[in-house]
Amino acid sequence: MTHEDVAPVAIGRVVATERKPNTPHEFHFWTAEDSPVGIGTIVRVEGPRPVGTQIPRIYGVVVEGFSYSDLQSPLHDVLGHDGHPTGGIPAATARTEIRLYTAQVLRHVPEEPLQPVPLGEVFLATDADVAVALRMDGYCRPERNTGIPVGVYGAGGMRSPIFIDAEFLVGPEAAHLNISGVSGLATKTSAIEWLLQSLFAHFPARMGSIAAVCFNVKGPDLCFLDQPGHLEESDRALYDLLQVPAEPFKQVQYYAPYTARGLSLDTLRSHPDLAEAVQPLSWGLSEVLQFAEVLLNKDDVDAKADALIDFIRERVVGKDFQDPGLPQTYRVQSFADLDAWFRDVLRKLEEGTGDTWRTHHAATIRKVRNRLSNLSTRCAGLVTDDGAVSDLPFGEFADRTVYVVDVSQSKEDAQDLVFARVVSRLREQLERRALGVDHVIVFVDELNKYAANDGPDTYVKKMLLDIAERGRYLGLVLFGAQQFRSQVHRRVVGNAGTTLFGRMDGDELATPGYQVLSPAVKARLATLDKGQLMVRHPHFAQPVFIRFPRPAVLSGREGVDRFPQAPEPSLAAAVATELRRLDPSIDLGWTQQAILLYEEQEVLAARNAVLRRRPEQVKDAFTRELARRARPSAVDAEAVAPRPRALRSFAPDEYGG
Amino acid sequence: MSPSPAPTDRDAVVSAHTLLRQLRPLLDAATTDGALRAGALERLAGRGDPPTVAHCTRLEAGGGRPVPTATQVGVDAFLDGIQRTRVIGHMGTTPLLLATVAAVVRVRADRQLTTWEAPRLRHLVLAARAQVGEARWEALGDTGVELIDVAEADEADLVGHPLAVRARALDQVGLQREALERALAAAWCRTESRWLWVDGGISGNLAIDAHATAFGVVKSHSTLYGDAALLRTTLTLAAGERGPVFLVQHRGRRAVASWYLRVHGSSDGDPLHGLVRVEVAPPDTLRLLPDGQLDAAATEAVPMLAARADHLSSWIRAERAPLALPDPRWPTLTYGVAACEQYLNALIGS
Repeated sequence: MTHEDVAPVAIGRVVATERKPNTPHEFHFWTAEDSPVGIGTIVRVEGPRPVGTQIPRIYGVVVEGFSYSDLQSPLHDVLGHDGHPTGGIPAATARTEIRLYTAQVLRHVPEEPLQPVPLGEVFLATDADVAVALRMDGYCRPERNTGIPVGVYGAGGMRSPIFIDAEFLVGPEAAHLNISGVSGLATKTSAIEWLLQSLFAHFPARMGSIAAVCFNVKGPDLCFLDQPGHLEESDRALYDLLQVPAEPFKQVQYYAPYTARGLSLDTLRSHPDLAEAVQPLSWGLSEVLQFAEVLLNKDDVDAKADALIDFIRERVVGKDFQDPGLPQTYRVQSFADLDAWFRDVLRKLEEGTGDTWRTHHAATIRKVRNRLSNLSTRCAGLVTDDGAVSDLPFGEFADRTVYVVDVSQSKEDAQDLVFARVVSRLREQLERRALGVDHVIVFVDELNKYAANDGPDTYVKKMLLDIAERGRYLGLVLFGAQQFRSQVHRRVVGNAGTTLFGRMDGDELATPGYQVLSPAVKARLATLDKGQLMVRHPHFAQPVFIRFPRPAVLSGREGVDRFPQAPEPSLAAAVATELRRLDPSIDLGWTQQAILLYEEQEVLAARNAVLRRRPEQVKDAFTRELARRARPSAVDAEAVAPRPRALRSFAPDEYGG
Repeated sequence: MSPSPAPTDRDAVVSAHTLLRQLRPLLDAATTDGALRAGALERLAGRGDPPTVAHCTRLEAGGGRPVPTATQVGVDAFLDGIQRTRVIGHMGTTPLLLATVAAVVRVRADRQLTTWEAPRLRHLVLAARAQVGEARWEALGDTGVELIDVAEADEADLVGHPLAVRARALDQVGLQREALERALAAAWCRTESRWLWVDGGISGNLAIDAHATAFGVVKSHSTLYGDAALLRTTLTLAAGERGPVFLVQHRGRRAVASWYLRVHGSSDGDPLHGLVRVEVAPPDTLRLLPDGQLDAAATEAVPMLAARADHLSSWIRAERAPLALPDPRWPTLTYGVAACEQYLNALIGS
């Protein structure tokens, strides 16, 4: 695996000329033509004589390569071949050719005095050299041991494990990770999945517990994290080398909102064999009202409207509200309750002579009613009219557990709302040290959409900025992914301590953010294969290229083949399936009989109530709920019109990173 | 090519500077290391022998003949030497010169050239002893440098001219370089059975005998051999043709068999373009009678010599590629020899 047991052989010699001098941060060396040196290779320079008492060792990474011959003009070669590439006679002697490389310094040992790189011999870096060059020796030593394997660096047939520092990945020193790459190679999602596996396997116990919340915003990629995927032998070898178990995540919990119709959960993980692991994600009025700003743009909410919303939030929702002019005491807990309250307030205004109620103008009240009432329609399936809540287990997060919030089928508004609320709750609970774990990784794909460097300052963007800038102090860590890094807000990507690059688009590489990279490194970035990354990390003076194994989980593409999405069930089947989780004796026939005389919304409300309460006698409870809900109520008035859902096909890039 | 250092390159460069430092106290004016970076006299002098036509004994009749196409590359190695002479200061009015001579054999394997054994290299200090004076001469000798007096005993007046000292020094340095080349060629011939291309003539090298696997290729033609008819044949050779073999007898040197070969054709009618003269050691039986005629044994040896001329010419022709451009001598300078020069230039500086 390593070259430690082989006598080191120089593969190059450092050269410097007046025109191309060496500096403390950059040097040049030449190699034989068959040398295994390439862009990204890590090398070690042995100084020819001691500085003080120590022979200087300089570690560098190759960033540029040149090749030229003793020809001064291409015309000479044309002449030598009689003007035709196949002309002339075969050359008895190969023309002298040089392979000249430029390397950027990773580390000087000793660090002082910092001098230009001497004219020494150049060696391929061994495992130990790589560890020193990347300063991994500082955090991979037993007494600290905060190294998290991110992949292997390979050159000249050697494979060296590369570790990143947990204290610089999840805090407190630095935090956050950002990954860029073109779509379609599945590199971004795979890299995140692999890194989470590695993090869970190696996160040091003394740093506390850790969990991950992954927002699945498109495609099925994150829907099968608990299912084993196919691994090649080469992948298994990497898992062995990096000491990460080659198995899927042991603890994964899925959350998804209902479909708009409410019969089943709106997720690509709806196959009967897997559906049990998916929990509903549904929120009521008070949960949504806290984040009204997410769904209401500035045109909707001026200062007057904002004041009314604050009033409702503070004084009306969840409290007993009385007003001298209103006919009753209100306890608003659902959108239906809220609408009833609005109706009475407006009626009072219409019956009176004034046009204001508690300083709020009638027009403002109508506008706010209109906007808020509309929310349950815009986020149908996620927002319940009856105030029922089914949420992530805030306060009971478990160590080394992945919580996947599947909003891939939801509308943009609903996605924003989910993100804003979940992250706010995570932050809130982490601040109080009440989440259940000490650190949470939040994985968000499509950062260029949620935290675009242009466009309006949305609530979601503000939240992402907040995580990026302050999350590390709380243990709230952002793992972000996007195709175009240049289109993501600078403060979001700039605060990412660790940055990964998969294959990059040429246009993207031409943007100013990549000016620090040499043309050769850019060329390599544009041609990276699946499973290859360039890594920037605070301990690495220069980026390094690595290879990581395929994640040991079922990919989205394979997952939807093996576990195809279930068609939307009938009402009876949907109810029977859900209730059977609580009482296996419930079958389709009983359910059909039970719901025969009831409307769909009554049946679904009854089902949801039973699922929330989880009673001992499920059949009895369900029957009682049905009977109770058959009476007209405010909830019924807000029934959402049924809309059939079609199975949708996937665009190819939904599987990609 | 391997990054491992040649055994002498760093030593050679270092010792030139060391020599300069040793000699500095003996010079009348301050001399700096920059003297080693000044242009070498060889590049400044523009020296050349006057053109002459010399007699030879023709061994083959007829005119130019096409050289057969080589079926394989036959040359295994190339030998060349270089010299660099610089004025490093003056003692009174006479110049003191530091010269470096070097020679190397570059062996070809798998189309790549590597250095055979170690390159030969010497540093010399040259001056006119009569002008320097005995005391200073002895002081120079005491520094341990290899000291050469450029003047003959009867040339004391001539070498009072500083430029004459330089000219004499260049001659002496040339002889020293040739000696290095001869020694290296002799070493090759003692131990190798592979074919060596020697840049220049071989008449002064006794080690290159009829059994040696070495031949010389002369690129310069200040002296052309033959009578009027042979000259006409030589100068009108077409590309890929060789002239008849002839015998050249240098005074005090071994006779060599030689022939002209047009390696590259000329587009502008230059009769010397791409023309080289090849030298090989003649068979031992090839001796001339006092009247300049061949005896019977020699006559029998000529066909064999002609066959060798064809053979070697085809090998030489096979070395046309790659061209030794951008060297202006490329029509006659083969790439292997140019690579020797390049190597030596890298070793001692150009």
